[in-house]
Amino acid sequence: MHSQASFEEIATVGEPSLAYSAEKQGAVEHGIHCDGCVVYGSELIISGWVIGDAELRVIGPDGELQRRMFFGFSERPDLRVGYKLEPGVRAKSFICIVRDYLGEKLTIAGYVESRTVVLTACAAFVIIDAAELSDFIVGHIDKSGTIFRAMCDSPEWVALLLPLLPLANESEKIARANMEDARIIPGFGGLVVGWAFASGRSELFIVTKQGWARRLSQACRWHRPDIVEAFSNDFGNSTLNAGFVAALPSTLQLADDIILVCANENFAYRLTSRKLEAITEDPLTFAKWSFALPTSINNFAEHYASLDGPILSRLIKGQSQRNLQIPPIDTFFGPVVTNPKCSIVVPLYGRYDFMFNQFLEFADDSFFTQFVELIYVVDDPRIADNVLRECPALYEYYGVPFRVINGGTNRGYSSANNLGVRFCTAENILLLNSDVIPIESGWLDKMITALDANENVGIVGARLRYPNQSLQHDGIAFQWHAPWGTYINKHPGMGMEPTAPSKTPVERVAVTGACMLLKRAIYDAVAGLDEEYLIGDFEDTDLCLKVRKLGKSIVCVQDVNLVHLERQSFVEQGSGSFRSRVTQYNSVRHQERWGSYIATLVGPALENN
Amino acid sequence: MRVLIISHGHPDFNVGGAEIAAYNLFCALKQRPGVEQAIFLARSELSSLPYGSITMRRGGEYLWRQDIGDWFRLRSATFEAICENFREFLLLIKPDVVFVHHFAHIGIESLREIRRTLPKAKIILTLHEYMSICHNKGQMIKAVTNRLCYRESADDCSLCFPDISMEQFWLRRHYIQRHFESIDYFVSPSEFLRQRYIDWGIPEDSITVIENGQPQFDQAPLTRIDGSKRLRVGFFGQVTEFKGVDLLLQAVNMLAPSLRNRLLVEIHAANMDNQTSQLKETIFNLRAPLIADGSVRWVGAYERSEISRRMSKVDWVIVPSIWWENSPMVIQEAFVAGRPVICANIGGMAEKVTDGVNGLHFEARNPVDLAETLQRIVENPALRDELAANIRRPFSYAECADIHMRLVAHLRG
Repeated sequence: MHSQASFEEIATVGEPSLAYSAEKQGAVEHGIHCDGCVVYGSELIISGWVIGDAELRVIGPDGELQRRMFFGFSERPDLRVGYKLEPGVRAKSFICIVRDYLGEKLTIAGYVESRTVVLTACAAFVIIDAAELSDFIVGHIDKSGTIFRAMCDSPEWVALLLPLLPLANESEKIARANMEDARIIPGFGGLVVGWAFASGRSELFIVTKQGWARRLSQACRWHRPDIVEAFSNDFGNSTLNAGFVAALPSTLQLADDIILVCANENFAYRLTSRKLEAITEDPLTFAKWSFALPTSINNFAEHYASLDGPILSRLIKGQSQRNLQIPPIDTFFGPVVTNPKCSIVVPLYGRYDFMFNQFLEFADDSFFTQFVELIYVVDDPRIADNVLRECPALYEYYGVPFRVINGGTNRGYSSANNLGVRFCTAENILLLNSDVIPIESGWLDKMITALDANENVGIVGARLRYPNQSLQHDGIAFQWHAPWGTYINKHPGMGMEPTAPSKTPVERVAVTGACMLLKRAIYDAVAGLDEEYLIGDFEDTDLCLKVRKLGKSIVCVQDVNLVHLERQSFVEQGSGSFRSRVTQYNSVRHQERWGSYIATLVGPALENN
Repeated sequence: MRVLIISHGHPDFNVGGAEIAAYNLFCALKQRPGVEQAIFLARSELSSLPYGSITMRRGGEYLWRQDIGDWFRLRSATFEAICENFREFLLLIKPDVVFVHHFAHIGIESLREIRRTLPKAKIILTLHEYMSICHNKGQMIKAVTNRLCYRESADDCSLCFPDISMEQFWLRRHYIQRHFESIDYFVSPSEFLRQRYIDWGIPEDSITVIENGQPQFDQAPLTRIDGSKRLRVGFFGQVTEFKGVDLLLQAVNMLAPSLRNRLLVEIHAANMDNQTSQLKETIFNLRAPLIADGSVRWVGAYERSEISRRMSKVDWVIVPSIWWENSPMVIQEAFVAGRPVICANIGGMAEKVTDGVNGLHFEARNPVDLAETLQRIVENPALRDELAANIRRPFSYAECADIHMRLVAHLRG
């Protein structure tokens, strides 16, 4: 397009380069001039002016410069007077920021329809310090937006720019924003939520004084009808998808300010700011807050990957670490059961009155009283004293010996089970929910027989019923849930009248953890239940899949009668509920770990019923 | 044979129908040949007794300081006392037969404890109302709509108590029924109640009807009816929202003044002060004009010993309850006094009173029908004597004890 030689001939440093109109003698049609070049750090800023509508390009020693460059312009009416420009010919000052400048000689070329019209050599660069850069920016404040956009990934520049930026003037219809909540767990990260929109070519940024900045376009966005209603008369369609939630870095501290900045090619403005508030390190509390933030259905995976997920996963890990420091207390009620055939682990959380109904059944099952080591794990300090107070009389009254492991804290379903299993002495482990009430004896005997009958069997589950005897669980099937992009756990036949029970165990893809029997050796081989799902969901299928990976099969025993007092699956409930969001969160985590493996399993051979 | 009778109250302190029935059974059994020893154990709330302790009241009679801690599952408040004090007591007494007249205020765990401690003893539980079936004060009336309830189900019960889930009701029933499995035989004072318990889950062949025994006294002769005196109708009992006193007053208000002039409704009402202000206000407004015109007399509470005297002064006894009732003691008492009964045509009332034979039915909860029934007895005073002549004298305490003994003999083979 052009060569070094032509540059040397045409360009003269310090002189404007002008081109005149062919039709109108003496009238300037195009022009370029370089006012100066400053270098701060590794960035170069060229400033100057341009007449006419030529497109500017930067030419280096090897032709057009292939570097990250950012141009910004503003009007120069004084040039119109000085050069007696014809009406319609524009005069603008410009800056050009060249990232990662290497010190080469540069030329600015103006093109009209791919033809070089004017060309000017750049002045020798001057290295400046931070104070001089501030002065430079103040002198070019009408192009601060370009500088901000060019340098938003540099904390040093952002921190230097931010105090220089003016507050947005509401009368200029550029942008509106409000941050409704901003919370952080120092060391873990945080979230900021609110609404914001900008008109035209303006861009929005979330910024801190320390110089951290992110484009709001990277945040999760959603539709806010209230914002559209309030502002669409003035701002039209730019008010769509105003809602946002964005991740904040773990380096932030409490009481730091979060600032929203709007930048176009001219100005950058500060729109609004908010002090960071604290949120507890407890994963559940964090989830209750963050899951309540709106999100659109399709955004959830993104939400999970970029917002809640990393923080929650760090919080859950942190909590597990802390829980390891809390020593559990083991109390025996009744004699120690020697050589038990089976250890049963029942976690208690929130309520313990199910024990009364369970004991009524356990006490009348002779297998239980002879061969079972029963372990209740109190996973809730709120009920620990009440449970322990009831226990001596429960043993006296029912005559079933048992142990209570007081975990001293709330560890969650998986962790409580894993804790209980540590205390088990039998070869067989039964995980049992406290709200499963067996209403006919002999069920455990049948499950153990099923486990021992075939060494290929890894896990034995049980048919469970609702209180009205309709089916609650007869094995789990994985079902693709398109809105979430994940497999979810389905209980085929749930709520229906149970089919005639098979006398032999039936093979299943997975079974519920509400009543699940397996060998201690297998449990240990797969490291038990995964503790990083939130609340208690999916860790049972996670365990089943780990056991399947060992080449073991999973079966369900049908000719038993156990009532499970679980409510209807929450997946069907409104998608906005917390419980549903927890399920969704866990399903995304489950999907990441098991999605491709499940895809190989979901075939006709293993589909239930 | 050694016999233990357990009651939820001692008549020295509580004069409810069930307590009296239990105590009188005890007194009658004491006298029986073949009964080596009879012991009466009554739950007590005497604050001088330590919680859970069992102490002698007088020879053969004991008080047990006990209460319910959870009225939903009917669990004992001092559960440990069941396995300690109560177990020790059972082991000392060693009864061959245990009559449980109620576990209310004691705790349903007492039933299983008897079975556990005395595996060979025969345990007979007398049911007095629907407490085990219905959480709404055992009334089998819908809590929200106040309509009559025909059958328990966990789902329907949860509709009555929206804060209590269906699962909770399932747990309640499971807990109570599993404890009922300790019982050898159930006694119901009415066929109606028996059927309700069979519907709920008690096996048909392990529940029978035995009417409560009644004290025996000479019947006062019916007064001669002439035009100069008002016909007297007596209500005897507690004034609660289920007893229908407001319904009765509504019906009297509906009568023409010329009829009211010939009628005197006496309300022998206990427990009025404990009722809701709404019920009290309703009754106050309904009765004021009737007291003024002389058709209603508010007599107030009575001692148990006074009932025969008071009943002998009325021509009819009325039982206007809006709930099912079981076997209302007041009907038996009226029959002992030789007075015909007007009652609602539902439940235990309708069973005990045969319409047009020894009393009259009116459509339950319908004040218009009750008013017409009152009109009928005023206009036809001879009906009183006609129906009174058909009254069969209720069982005496001794006869009632005989029937219980026959049941025991049957159970012991």
